[in-house]
Amino acid sequence: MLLYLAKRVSGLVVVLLLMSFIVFGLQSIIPADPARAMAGPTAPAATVEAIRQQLGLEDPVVVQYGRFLTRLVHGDLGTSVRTRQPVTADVIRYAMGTLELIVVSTVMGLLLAGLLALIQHTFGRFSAVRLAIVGAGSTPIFLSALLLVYFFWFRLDWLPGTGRLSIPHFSGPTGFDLIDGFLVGRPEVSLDALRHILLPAFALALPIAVAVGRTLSSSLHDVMRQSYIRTARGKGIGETSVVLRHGLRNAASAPLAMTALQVRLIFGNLLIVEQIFARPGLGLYTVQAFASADLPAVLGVSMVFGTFYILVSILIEIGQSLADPRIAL
Amino acid sequence: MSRLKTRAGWQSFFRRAGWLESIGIAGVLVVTLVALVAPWIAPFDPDVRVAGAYLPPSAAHWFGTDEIGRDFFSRIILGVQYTFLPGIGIVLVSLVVGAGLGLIAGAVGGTLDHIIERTVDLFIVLPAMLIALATVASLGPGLFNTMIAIVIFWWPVYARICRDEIRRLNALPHVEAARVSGVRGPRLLLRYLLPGAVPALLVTATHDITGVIMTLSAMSFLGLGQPAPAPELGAMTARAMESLTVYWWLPILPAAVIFLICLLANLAGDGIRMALRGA
Repeated sequence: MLLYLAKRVSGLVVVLLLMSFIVFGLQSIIPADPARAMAGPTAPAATVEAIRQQLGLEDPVVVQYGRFLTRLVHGDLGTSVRTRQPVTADVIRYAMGTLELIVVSTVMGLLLAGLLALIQHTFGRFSAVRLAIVGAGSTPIFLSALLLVYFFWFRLDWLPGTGRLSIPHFSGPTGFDLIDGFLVGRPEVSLDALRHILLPAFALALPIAVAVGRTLSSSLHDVMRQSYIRTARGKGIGETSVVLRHGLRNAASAPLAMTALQVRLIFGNLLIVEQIFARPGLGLYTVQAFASADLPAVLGVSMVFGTFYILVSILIEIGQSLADPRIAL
Repeated sequence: MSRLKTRAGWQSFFRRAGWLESIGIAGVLVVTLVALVAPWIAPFDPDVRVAGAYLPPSAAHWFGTDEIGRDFFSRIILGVQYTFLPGIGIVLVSLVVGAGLGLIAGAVGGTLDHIIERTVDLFIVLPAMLIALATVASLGPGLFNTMIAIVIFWWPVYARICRDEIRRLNALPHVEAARVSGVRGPRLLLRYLLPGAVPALLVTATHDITGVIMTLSAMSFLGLGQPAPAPELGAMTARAMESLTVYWWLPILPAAVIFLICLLANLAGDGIRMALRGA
C-alpha cells in the first residue's frame, strides 16, 4: 500500500511537470503580450516596458520556466492578468463551489446509473428503451443544460436557473454552501443552495449515468451467468442478496474504471454548464480566463485540475482493489 | 469481408445489426451526403436576408429566421457541413496516425514498441480537454487549430487498440503460415495483419464520431472554434443563448441537430459492432 502510494505520487509529480511544461511552452509561443494586457491599450510604451521588466519577460524562456517552477512548489501560481489577484487566491475562492458541484453530480450520476442499469436489464429488449438510453448518451451537454433552464426555470419556474445562492453575501466556514447553512444555523441557506445545484448537477450527471449505467449493465450481465451465482442461488440466498452481494461486488471493477474516466471528462462539461447556469466556479473562471488570454490563470487552473484528475484515479484504483482483492495495488 | 460483397451478405449484415441500428447506419450515410452537398440543397441562400427577423418556425421557413432575417433551416444545413466534415476528418486523421503507429509497434515489437506504448500512456493520462483548450487558446481559434488540438489527444486510443490487435493476430496460425512461406515486411503488415485489426478499429471509429463532434461543438460553444460568421452548430447555440427565453429555436435547434447526428452515429456504431461480432 505504501509502495503503491509512493509510486502514484511520484507519477503525479511527473505528469504535473509535463503539464506545466506543455502549458508553459504554449504560453511562450502565444502572440498576446501579457505586459501590454496588464498596462491597458492606452498606456505609454515606458510603462509597458517597466511591467515587462517587473514580470521578467525579458529573460530567456528557460529562466522564466525555472522561476515559474520555483514559485509553483511554494504554492504561488502567479498573478491573474484579468482579476489582478494572485491566481492561488482566485482558485481557492472558486474551488469549493466547483467541488461541491462535482461531488453532487457524481453521486447523482451513480444513482441514476444504477437505475439505468436496472431499466436496461429489465426492458432492454424493447427498441424504444434502447433508443432512449442511446439518445440520453448522445445529448450534447449544452442542449440538456439549455432545455433544463428553459423548462424548469423559465416555463415551470420550479427551480432557479442561475447562480449559486439567492441569499447575498453569505460565506460559511467550509465553502460548501450545502453544509454551511446547517453549520451556522441557517438551514434556509442550505435549502436554497440545494435548489440552485439541482439543475446544473443533473446536466453534468446525465453523461456519467449513461456511460456508467451501460458498463454496469453489461458487466453485471456477464457476472450473473457465472457458476458461483448459481451456487449462491442454490444455497437458498434471496435474489436481492445474490445480486447485491455476489453479483454487484464482482461486477464493480469495469463501472468503477468508467466512473474514473467520466469524472476526468467532467472538466470540459463543467466549463459549459457553469457558463449556461452563470454559476461562479472554476469552470466559469477558466472560460473568462480564455476569453481574455489570461495565461497565468489558465496555467493555474490546469495544474489544479491535473492534480484533481490524478487524485481521482488513485481513489478509484483503491476502490477497485477493495471490491476485488485480486487486483493488487 | 468478401462475404459482404454478395447481396445475401449485406442482408445478413443488416439483420445482425438490428433494425434500429441499421437506420443509424443509413442515417450516417444520409448526413454525410447532406454535409457534402449542403450549399446546393439549402432552400435559401444562408448568408442573405430573406424575410423578417426572428420569425418562428413556419411552413415557409421550417426552422424560422435568425436575428437578421436569414433562413435558419438553410443555415443549419450548412452548419451540418461545418460541423460534420471536420469531425469525420479528425476521426480519419487520428485513425491513420494511431493505427499506423500501433501497427508498427505491434509488428516490430522491442524497443520501438516500448517507446510508442509509453508515449500513448502519457497522452492517455494527461487531461485531454484541458490541453486541447490550452492549445487552442494559445494558437488562436480557428478550424485548423481546433482540429489539430483534438487529433493530438485522439490518436493514442487507436494506437492502443491497433497494437493490441496486431499482437493477438501475430500469434494466429495464418500469420505464422504466411511468415513460414517467406512473406515479410510491408506485405505481411498490410495483407495479413492490418485486415484483422480493421473490425475493432471500425467499431471504435464509428462510435468516436459522436465523441469528436461533441468535443468539437463544445469547443466552438466556448468560442474556440471557427470565427464568428461561420454557421458552426455549437457556436450558433452559444451566440443565441441569450435569446433562449424569447426565440427558443435559435439556440435549441442547432443543438438538437448535433444531438441527431450523434444519435445516428452511436446507433451505427452499435449496429456495426453487433454485425461484425457474428461475422
